[in-house]
Amino acid sequence: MAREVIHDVLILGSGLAGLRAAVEIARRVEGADIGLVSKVQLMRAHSVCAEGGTGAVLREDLGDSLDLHAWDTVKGSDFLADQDVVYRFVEQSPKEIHQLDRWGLPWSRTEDGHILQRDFGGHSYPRATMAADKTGFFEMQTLYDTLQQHGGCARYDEVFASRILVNDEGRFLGLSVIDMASGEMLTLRGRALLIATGGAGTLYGFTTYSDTVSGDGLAMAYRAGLALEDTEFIQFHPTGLIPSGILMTEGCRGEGGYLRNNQGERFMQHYAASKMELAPRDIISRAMMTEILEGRGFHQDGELDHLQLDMTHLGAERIHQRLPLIREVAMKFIGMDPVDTPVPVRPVAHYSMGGIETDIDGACTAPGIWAAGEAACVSLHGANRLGTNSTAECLVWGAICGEKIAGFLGEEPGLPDLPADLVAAEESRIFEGLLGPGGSASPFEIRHQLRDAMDQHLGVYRDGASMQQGLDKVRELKAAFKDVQVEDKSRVYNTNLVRALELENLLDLAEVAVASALAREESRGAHARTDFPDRDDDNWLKHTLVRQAGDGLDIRYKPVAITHWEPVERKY
Amino acid sequence: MAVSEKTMRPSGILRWLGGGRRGLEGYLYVIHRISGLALLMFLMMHVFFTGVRLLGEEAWSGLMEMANNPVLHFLEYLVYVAFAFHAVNGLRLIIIELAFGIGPPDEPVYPYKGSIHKQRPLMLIAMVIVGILIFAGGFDLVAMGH
Amino acid sequence: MTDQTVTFRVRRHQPGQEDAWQEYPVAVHPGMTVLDGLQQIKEQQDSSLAWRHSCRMGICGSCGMVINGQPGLACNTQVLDISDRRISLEPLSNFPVARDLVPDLEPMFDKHRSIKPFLIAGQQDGDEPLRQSPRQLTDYLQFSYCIKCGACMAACPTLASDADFLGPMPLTAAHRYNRDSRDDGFDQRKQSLGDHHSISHCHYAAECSKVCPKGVDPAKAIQYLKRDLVLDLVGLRRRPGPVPQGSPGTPRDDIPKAPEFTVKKP
Ligand SMILES: Cc1cc2nc3c(=O)[nH]c(=O)nc-3n(C[C@H](O)[C@H](O)[C@H](O)COP(=O)(O)OP(=O)(O)OC[C@H]3O[C@@H](n4cnc5c(N)ncnc54)[C@H](O)[C@@H]3O)c2cc1C
Ligand code: SF4
Ligand code: FES
Repeated sequence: MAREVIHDVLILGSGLAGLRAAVEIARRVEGADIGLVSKVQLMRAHSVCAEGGTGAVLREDLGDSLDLHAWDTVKGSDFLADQDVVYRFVEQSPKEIHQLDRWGLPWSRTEDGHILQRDFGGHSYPRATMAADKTGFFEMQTLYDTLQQHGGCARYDEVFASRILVNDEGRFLGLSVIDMASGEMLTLRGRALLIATGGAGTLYGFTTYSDTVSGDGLAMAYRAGLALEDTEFIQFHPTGLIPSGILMTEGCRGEGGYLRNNQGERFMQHYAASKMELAPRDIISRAMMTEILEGRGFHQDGELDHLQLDMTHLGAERIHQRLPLIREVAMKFIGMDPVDTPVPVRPVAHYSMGGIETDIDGACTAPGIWAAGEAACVSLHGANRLGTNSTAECLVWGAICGEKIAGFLGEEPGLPDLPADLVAAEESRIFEGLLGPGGSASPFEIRHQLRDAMDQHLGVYRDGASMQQGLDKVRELKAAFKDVQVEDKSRVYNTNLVRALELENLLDLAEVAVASALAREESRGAHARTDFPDRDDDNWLKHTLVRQAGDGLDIRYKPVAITHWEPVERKY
Repeated sequence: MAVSEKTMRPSGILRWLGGGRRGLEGYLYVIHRISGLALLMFLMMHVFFTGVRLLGEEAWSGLMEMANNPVLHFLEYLVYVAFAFHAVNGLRLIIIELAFGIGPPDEPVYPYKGSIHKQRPLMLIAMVIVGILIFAGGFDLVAMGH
Repeated sequence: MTDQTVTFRVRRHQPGQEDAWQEYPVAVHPGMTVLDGLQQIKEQQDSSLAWRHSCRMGICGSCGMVINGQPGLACNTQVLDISDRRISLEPLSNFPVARDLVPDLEPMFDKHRSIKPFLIAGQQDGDEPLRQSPRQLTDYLQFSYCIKCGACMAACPTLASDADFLGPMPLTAAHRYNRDSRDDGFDQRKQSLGDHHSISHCHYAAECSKVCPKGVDPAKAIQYLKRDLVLDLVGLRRRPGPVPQGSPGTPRDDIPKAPEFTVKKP
């Protein structure tokens, strides 16, 4: 029987959202007993990869305003964002920036000591608050370091959560986790849970995500009966480095970089003449795919067709100061120095707008469970996220959820009983099912096929027939997974087992995403269908909600909160 | 496919040597510490042997007689070498440890160079001086027959 | 360019067993990193091989290992940049090993925590903006680039013979916060640096700076930290320069206004 450990609250995920919430609870509740669970060491979550900046209105004296940030976000979302949520967001975000300043974040500075901001796609004011091009890294570092001064936070580094335990009423009971260092299974009990497990980017082969981002939280929540919202909206970032998919931040264009096709032309003039390279990501990605499909890309044998990101006119000093990581990465990974050579880029899977359905406070429909960060869908990003709004979202809702959970801990009395068979079932699924004898399918093979299918069928442009093929393929792979083989049977640091569990999660999510996309018969934001090329507000101005129903899916919809602006045509 | 062989991980002081492919400064560190240990040992021996004097004039001159041979002269020279290195390198280290000669904190530009390159001139000067001292001492040993 | 084969020689470790070297031939192509090579081995030859990785772009600090005798990041090292046709891979030295290429980094995290790696200041709460000049920023920025990969700790010869030595990474973190113009914790941190396994045992082997993949230059930080401690001893330590006084900015006239609300409030 799995050993049981009891905490007040469990935070699943140590990315920006998870750490921010942990710090908030630690400073609000004296002696709070927090269990912070992460499958990577705490400071290594994927959030460290965020480069460009964090969106916040800091300079109303120079012409920026909360209304403007809200409008940019709503328009960027193709009007699918909940507008009350957007206002909550733009009001909170500047506070988070200043709070981090007080916790020691090395924001880049102007000569007179203000925090430096730069241009970003879809924003009408340069409000990408930056710490060089390592913004996410520094935010993570600051939160991790700040957490070191609070006691009472139990670290579960490299502990993989495999199941969210809920009772029949859906009340949260605990987590089943595997301690990777020992291979032992534990049951973590807590009165509240925050899911902050990030996105699901490794669904795709060509992606900007860390290899550890596999949508575990979403899949676990889905299996625990929660709804996944708007998962068909997957953002493709215009500038992923060929061949690895490593991100060249939008900040490259924010600093003045150009996109060029093989004629040397700044092709964005044909697609978004007023914003050019700083149009929202969905628009640029579509433009780039069109250029490539129409033969104006660069072609090299054995590599994906690509376009060029040209920063050679920016000058060495600006690049050294404001884009040092970009330069280092380009030089290390493809041997090109962007100071004097344009780099090859192409649209790349980058962000999941969808996630676990929550209300405006980040609370899920199940009592005792909150979700924040990329794993959650508070409906801030709608059909297309603006760059910089994600790290800001993680901070804002990390803090909000932390506050709400702190309040909940004060009110909520005891810990509900945990039926023993729940844990036993999970133990047998893993130790007898996956680690037991038998099985013939290679998880690596299934994973490759899944990624290929997603690259092919749920890309920048989609159509019904292709998505149907994709869905069939995913279901076939799901069936194949039932017979998967985990070759490594040892307990200590069994990465093979973890990869297999992640794959299982990805398969569930792929099915949900493709099915939602197939159902949505319009084009909106990042969801661009060639068979339904127009936005259809009459029928589709609504959020998709998918629940698990036996072996199938139950797809429903809910309305969008339109509190300030009616949808209008979206042009840049 | 796979060839297996067993290995042991070196531990403790051995890893001064086996810790990796060290750079110049890394080797200087190792030599500095070893020469320091050697000088310490010499010092203890020196105190001990000087103590023999307390046993009387005879014991002392006997000891001096024994000491007057080429092997011991050479060993004495080694002590001198260790001293020359440790002293001059020690001066270099004092300068560096007060943060002189290593450059100010600065935005690192890839490929990273940093303080190691900044202090190279100082290191070279120190080593040239050590070289001259060692050579002069060696000359003294051979030519003067001390 | 045609593919070539490189032999990966990996030091395997299973708990309770003696270490053993194992060799894998890997077909490599230009642009391939050591991490890609390991991945290929895991998928095609030996799925039991264990190591850590995540971001694969040299920023999360997971994949530190000793590559051909030199601590570094697997994801950051191009196979073909190594002139050898044999690449030896070992777990980071100076750490206990959990399995294969997975070191136990807890000792480093504990030491890091012990030096109080956070701002100690009276102004933690509140959301009024603070000021810091670019000059004040440069004073510590370089030292804040640390990704906690542990490469410097593996390279440090002092740590090799004294496991209680704090090591380059924590000492650098201490200096990073000491030099922050928003910090006021020098005296507290001095206490935690005080004991004899601490800073005085660094004699600038500079191995840490040589191997650091992020240009942090820990050896530089440590020497500056020593200088500050000495200056503090003689009462001459100075705080980083004064906070800049900004002038009110001039509003930009090229910024559009948000459109009027079109939803009538009830
Ligand atoms: C390359 C790149 C650049 C980006 N740049 C920007 C930018 O400039 N601006 C911006 O606003 N946004 C940016 N983003 C987006 C932003 O970084 C992410 O959306 C955000 O960091 C997500 O944070 P998170 O806290 O939700 O999750 P993550 O940081 O992904 O953290 C997830 C956590 O959950 C844990 N976890 C997951 N599954 C399990 C499990 N089964 N068991 C235990 N623990 C688990 C992980 O260990 C990890 O700690 C970028 C994204 C990428 C890929
Ligand atoms: S100082 Fe450099 S080598 Fe050391 S842990 Fe930090 S990043 Fe790694
Ligand atoms: S995998 Fe993140 S640093 Fe290498």
